[in-house]
Amino acid sequence: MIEFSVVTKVFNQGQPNECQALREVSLTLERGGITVFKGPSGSGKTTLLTLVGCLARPTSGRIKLDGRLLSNLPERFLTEVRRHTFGFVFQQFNLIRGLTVLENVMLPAYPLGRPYRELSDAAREWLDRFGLGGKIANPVEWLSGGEAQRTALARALINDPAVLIADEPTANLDSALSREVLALLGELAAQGRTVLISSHDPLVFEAIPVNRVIELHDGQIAGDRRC
Amino acid sequence: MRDFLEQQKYLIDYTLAALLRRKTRNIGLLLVYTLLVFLFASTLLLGQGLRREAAILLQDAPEVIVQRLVAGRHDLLPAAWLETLRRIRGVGTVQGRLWGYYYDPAVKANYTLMVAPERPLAKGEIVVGAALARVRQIGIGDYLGLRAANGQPLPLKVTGILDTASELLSADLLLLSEASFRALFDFPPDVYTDAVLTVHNPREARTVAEKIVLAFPDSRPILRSEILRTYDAVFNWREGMLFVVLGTLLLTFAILAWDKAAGLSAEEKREIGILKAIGWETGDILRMKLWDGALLSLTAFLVGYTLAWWQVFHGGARLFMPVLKGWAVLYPNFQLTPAVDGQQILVLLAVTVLPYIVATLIPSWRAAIADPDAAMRG
Amino acid sequence: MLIMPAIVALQLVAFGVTGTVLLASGFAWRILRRWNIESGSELQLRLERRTYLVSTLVGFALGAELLSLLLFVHTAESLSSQFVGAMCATGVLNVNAFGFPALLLKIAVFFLAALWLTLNRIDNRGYDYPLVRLKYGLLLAIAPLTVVELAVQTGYFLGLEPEVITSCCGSLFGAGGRGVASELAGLSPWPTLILFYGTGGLIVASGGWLLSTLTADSSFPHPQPLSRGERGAEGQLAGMLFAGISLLGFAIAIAAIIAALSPYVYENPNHHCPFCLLKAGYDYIGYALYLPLFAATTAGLGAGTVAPFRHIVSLQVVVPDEVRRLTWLALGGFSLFYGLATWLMVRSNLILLG
Repeated sequence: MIEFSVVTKVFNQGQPNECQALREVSLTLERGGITVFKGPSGSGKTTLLTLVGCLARPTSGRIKLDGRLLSNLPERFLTEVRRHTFGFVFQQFNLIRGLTVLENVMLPAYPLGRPYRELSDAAREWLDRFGLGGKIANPVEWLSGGEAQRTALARALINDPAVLIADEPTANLDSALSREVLALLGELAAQGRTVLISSHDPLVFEAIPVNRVIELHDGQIAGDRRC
Repeated sequence: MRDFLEQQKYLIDYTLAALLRRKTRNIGLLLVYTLLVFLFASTLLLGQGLRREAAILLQDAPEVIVQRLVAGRHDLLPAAWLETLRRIRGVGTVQGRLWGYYYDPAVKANYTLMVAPERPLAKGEIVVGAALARVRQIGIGDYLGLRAANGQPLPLKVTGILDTASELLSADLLLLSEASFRALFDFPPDVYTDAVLTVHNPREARTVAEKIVLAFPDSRPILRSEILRTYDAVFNWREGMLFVVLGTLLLTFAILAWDKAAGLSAEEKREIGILKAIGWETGDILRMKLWDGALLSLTAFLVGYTLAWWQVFHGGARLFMPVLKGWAVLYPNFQLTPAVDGQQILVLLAVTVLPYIVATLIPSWRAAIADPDAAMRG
Repeated sequence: MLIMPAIVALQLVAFGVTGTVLLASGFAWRILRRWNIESGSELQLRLERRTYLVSTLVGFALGAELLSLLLFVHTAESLSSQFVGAMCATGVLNVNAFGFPALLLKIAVFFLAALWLTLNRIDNRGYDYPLVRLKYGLLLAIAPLTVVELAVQTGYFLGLEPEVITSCCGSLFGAGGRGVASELAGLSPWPTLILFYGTGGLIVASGGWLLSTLTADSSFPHPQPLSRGERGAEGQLAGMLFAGISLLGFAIAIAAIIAALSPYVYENPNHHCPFCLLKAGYDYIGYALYLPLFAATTAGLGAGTVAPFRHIVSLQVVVPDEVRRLTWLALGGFSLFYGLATWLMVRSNLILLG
């Protein structure tokens, strides 16, 4: 479904601090299942995920989504594709302070102009499902780590994306909360969504049925194992 | 279309919430912005008000005033002229006027003395303007002593005070009888100060003026339309000067706006990064920033304009009156009639809102082009 | 030189417009030189981001130019008491040789900026920015025009001497004088009105034809390139025709206003001035006439300019949509204008014909 052909990503091109985050990576990701990306920091995991999720464009090489070439799309169109296909959960949660839980979850859909009623209903549904039904009017600063992560998850799902990308979802949580979040991810995968996780937490392998593990090292793929 | 409107509603919602979240940052700019609108609006409203006042008051001014010039200076007009003027084609009525100035050393003010035929007064009686009465602290029944041209004191009894409603014209006015006037200034019986004419067809006023000059080469006919023109020009010019002076404030404001728009706090940068990561596009962030500016501008404009309005039409316009009215000792008190004008609003928009937009365009854009993957890279 | 608030404001706006357009052109030049849509390099990314700035700047310039146009006419109107012989904006604009050119330049810049924004809109909806070179080339052509406009406007204001005796609209737009304005005023109403309504019919006809050539290709996201025959040469022709007729319609509308409509509104067969319509004494009817006319002409020009790009693969769906929208806008605007003009003539107490 997502095809990488000889993809390279370079930061700060031409400057003294030039850095090649990914080198000529070729990869095909199929729909469905849970794929985990492993590797030390600096290995290019995060960069790979940003390219998969259309957050950035490759410096060279080709990326295709369902056969459609994405790599040379202008940012505007990339964002279009991304909105409807990918949902992101960040390591730092990245919720907007000063807004309520409900508002944070609805935020990604604002530019689409969906009718308010429909949007807030969808948001409440997700929040109820994640056990946050009673806290929708709370400012996000009042949430605990686990609650914040689940809010971020609801936010990632508001536009009903086919692919969920989670960057180190358990890094800031203790093991009990980690299991909770991972269980939710497992549920979503079971319902047919593609789940991509970057992590080096062994708990991930214990808690959920991982289908594929891709290891990265120095910007290149060092291992590709199916389970 | 519905989507578009819905989208704008969301953007406004978000912008409003963001503005309220960062009240302290925005309040400084808002205050300066409001002050700017207030100052410019006051100037415009005051100028407009004064212009209208002048036009209304001059409606009853004489169509044509004829003066005699000697060596380029205003001299007295011989009574014999009146008959010749009456015979010029196009001229309606002709009347000789008696008026002059009197300098009162007691209050260091100039009075305008006039004989008003429609207000017959006995010899020795006068009617004074309200401002004059105030300054000299005299009322009905009091005596005002003026020095005649021959050095003798001339006592004049106040038998009336002119209405305050007409203060703009009558502030320094002193009406007296023809006899008193001629006695005071030692005017010979066959001269007048000037003559006033009406013309049958106002559009022919200019032609009539030309004929007057032909008949009396040493005369100077002054048309009412020219007086209006001059007043207009004076007010315009003074308004314009104020605008140019306020330009320095405008520049400071523009720099402030630029600075505020460009100096995003770390929190703001983080927010924009997150928004872009969760699906907002550069255009959406830009539009949000534009709404930010629009809301701020709207608030500043409404508040500033309202304050200016109140100040000019209800508060006495103390701030700018001196500049626009000019220098004098006797100031009439008067209320200006409120009037809004489309042109005024356009000018205000052009000198306040437009510069604000210009100053914030590039910084807004810079903020909007943040990398979407910055939130991932932490 | 008259220093008054409106003039200070107008000069400020003119500087603002010229400044932003020159700035935008500077960016446009740099974008043009290094643009390469295929590349994923950081430079290309920066250039793409810069395009947002250019379009925002030009959008601002358009808005400011509109404000400037309104204010300019309004100011000329209000200055008529300052100049001997002037009774409305015409006289004031006639004080020196720069007045009318300044007005015409403003109208030209307005139309061109609107056109640019239309092109930009459809370019942005094509996933490979197909019109970049054309767009920024056009911008580089508009830039000097704004400089000229600023110069002419400044020259006009500098030359506003109240001592100059100018001619009122009666002599300028009167049948007896010389020059274009007189020619227009001297046109007899009957043939002018025939031409006026005839053009109206042409506008509707060409608009209808243009709409009929539009067929939406719905095979997005993989639209196939059209064959030569299918490229809609007919559509292109219809587009260009509509744009041309819109412009013609604009010119003839102005002529009709001067020659025939104005006398009806003023109920005076000798009063032909197109600016006096904007006065309060006539209920500001001029605005109700000119605004739809300008909007319609702009939309018509836009439709015609955009139509030839149907054959570009990435714009196959976008162009018909946009052309349809603009054509309806133009037709609507012209209908409003014609409707109002007709109503004004019918309800007037003046009898000019028959």
